[in-house]
Amino acid sequence: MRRRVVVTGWGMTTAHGAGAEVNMQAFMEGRDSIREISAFDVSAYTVKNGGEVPGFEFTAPLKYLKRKRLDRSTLLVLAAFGEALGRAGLESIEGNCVVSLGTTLGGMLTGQAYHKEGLTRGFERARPAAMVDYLAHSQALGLMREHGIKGEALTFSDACASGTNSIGHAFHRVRSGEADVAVAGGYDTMCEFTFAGFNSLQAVTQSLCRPFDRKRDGLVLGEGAGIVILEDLDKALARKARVLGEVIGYGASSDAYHSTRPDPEAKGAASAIKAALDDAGVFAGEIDYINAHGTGTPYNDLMEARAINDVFGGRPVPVSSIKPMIGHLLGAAGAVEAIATLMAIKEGFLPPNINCDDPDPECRIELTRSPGQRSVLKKALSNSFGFGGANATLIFQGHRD
Amino acid sequence: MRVVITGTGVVSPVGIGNEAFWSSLASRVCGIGEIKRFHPGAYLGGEVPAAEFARVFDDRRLRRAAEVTKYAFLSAREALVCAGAYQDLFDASRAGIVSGVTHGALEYSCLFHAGVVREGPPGASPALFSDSVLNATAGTLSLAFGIKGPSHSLIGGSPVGLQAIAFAAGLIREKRVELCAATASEVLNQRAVEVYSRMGLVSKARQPSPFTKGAEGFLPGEGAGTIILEVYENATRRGARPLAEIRGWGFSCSGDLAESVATALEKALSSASLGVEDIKVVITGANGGAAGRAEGAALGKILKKGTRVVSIRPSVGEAFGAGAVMDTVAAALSVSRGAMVSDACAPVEETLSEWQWAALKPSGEPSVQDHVLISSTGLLGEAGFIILKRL
Repeated sequence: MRRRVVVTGWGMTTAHGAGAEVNMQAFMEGRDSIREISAFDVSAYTVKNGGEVPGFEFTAPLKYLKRKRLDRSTLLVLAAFGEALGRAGLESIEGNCVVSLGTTLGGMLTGQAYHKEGLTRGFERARPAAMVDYLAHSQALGLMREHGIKGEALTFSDACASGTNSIGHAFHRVRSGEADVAVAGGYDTMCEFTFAGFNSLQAVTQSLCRPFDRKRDGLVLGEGAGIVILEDLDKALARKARVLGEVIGYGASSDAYHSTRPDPEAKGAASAIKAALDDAGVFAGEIDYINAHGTGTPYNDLMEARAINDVFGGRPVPVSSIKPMIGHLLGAAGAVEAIATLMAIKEGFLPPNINCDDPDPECRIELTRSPGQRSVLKKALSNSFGFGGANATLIFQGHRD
Repeated sequence: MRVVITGTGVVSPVGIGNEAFWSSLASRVCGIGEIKRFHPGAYLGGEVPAAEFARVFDDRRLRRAAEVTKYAFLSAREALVCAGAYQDLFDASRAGIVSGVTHGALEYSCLFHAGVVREGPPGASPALFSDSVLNATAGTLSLAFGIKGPSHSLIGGSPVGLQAIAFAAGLIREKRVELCAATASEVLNQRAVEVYSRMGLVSKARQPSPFTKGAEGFLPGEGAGTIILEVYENATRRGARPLAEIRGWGFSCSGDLAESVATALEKALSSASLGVEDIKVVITGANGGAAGRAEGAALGKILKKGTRVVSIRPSVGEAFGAGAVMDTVAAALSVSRGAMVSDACAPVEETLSEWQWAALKPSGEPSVQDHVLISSTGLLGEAGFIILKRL
């Protein structure tokens, strides 16, 4: 028998700031937190803006990890996890557990610093000990070590679908009974390596990120982390945990079309959405809101709109992307957007798709553009589509105490 | 539901392709030598023969891809051919791919970053960037073979190769796919070898000796392995000849490697409905380094006396996630051929293990073992096991 899987804790850090409450308020208001990047010198780049976490510092005491050797990514994960754990009313993660995180970069800032030091001063003088936290699975294992979590560690790197796949897989593990509790989510940092890469692909905008707008011309990068605690419903209720929402469906697919461009016919994206609906055992007509991948690139948004139209048959489901507010968080995107979707269901609001002044008529979707819109949402869906044709969709529903 | 291996493919320092690989392992060929790819003469390791690889790699679609993707492609193509599932012989929407990655395309990452450091934004190459992302290999393989089901890249240390296989088997058990490729690939990289050397993890010996006195590190290696998994009934219905069954698996991570090993092995045995007495042969990822020694000590306390333990690391070097898939290829070939993989370790009486390893039998000796345990541990305290069953 399938178990029901509920979210009992969430924590997040984004350009809106640290903490779920701060972020939820900003998502409701449609706050624009994109600023000029300060992490590195952007003077030589035509694009200068991004969604950096403002003044991020992780000051909580560490028992086992050495703060000086930790990449910013690990600190973002520790901060989001600590918040999620507290919100779940837990002091530690016990029992049969899986830690499932998504990232595209891991500790790239550390790797970048080592490589830059080696290139400028000679590799014999660069410090190899700092490289331990570079490996992309180091953050999950560091989290487990610091918090005494014992179980299986999984790190997904499925480009922009990483965070969604990490939660989807953890959901399946708990649903099947393979795990009683899961720590799932995603993270990524703002680093020059990625910034230069997306610039070279001409995928970033020089103005505003405007998903589904006729004049959209690219994405804006961001950074952050989002972590959820997933539990078996019965066990969560038995310990009188506060249930924040329920994960009910997950689907994934591949485009097999192009290494960086999505399939314009949207077959892969539609397939992931349909797989998630099948997995949840719900009809498309039951979905009340779609949190779109909505990067603001011409290719992605048109493709995603086609997928939505294919699956929902022209039914006007409210759609929005939160990326114009906080940027594209890459490996963290799916996790943060999943939490935003759960928040929307729980609090009954529609996150606005800001910066879209002139909706693209070719997209033909029901965009939620203005902030402050209230709506009763029973079930909602969150999409993620990444490089390499990786597509993933999660479906959530509300839970009444 | 029985999940079986219907195809394997391998690119290794001791041979490209199943037959060359098996033949070398059976005759204890050592692929360790001076690394030629960079700084010739400075490092020892297991290197895929460049000339041989260039001779057999013939797909021009991937000519600009990173070497790590090319290795994976070649092993995956062989595995699909071996499974009789190459070129549209499977339902693309019901096929998936899971890639285990440790370092990814480090050479492309280094080149891309060097361009940015030296020239600023104009030095950023879009081709290098898109091929340096950690899921580039999985994306390229799904594109090359038309795989339209789930595509995942799992990142981890050596056990990630086994995690990729277990994950793929899980997708089949959950009926999310009917056929799934599990692959992992690794390429020797100067920066990685330098870092591991300076951290004191690399052996100075010409051949690493897992479990032996004086073993003080691993030697780096490279290569790729791919396993094709299907449901037994589907495979036999279409006329495929399964090589082995994936009977069970277990993974664990804790602050203590011995505890990780014990927990992961217990999970693997439990999922396979086996007892520890059913395990007579272990193919271990022990490489002469600290994790391997700890793994040996932990296994020695659990496994029954007389269990035979084999490591192919002395022949191929440490290829991290790819190494674990190569181990699984070796195990699948071993059980399907009823022969033992031979071991290139030092004499058994020198073992450090608290438990007496059984004497290793000569290469190619017939084996009627029903189960083979594949074991892998990582530098950060993670452990994983897969159990194969002879069909």
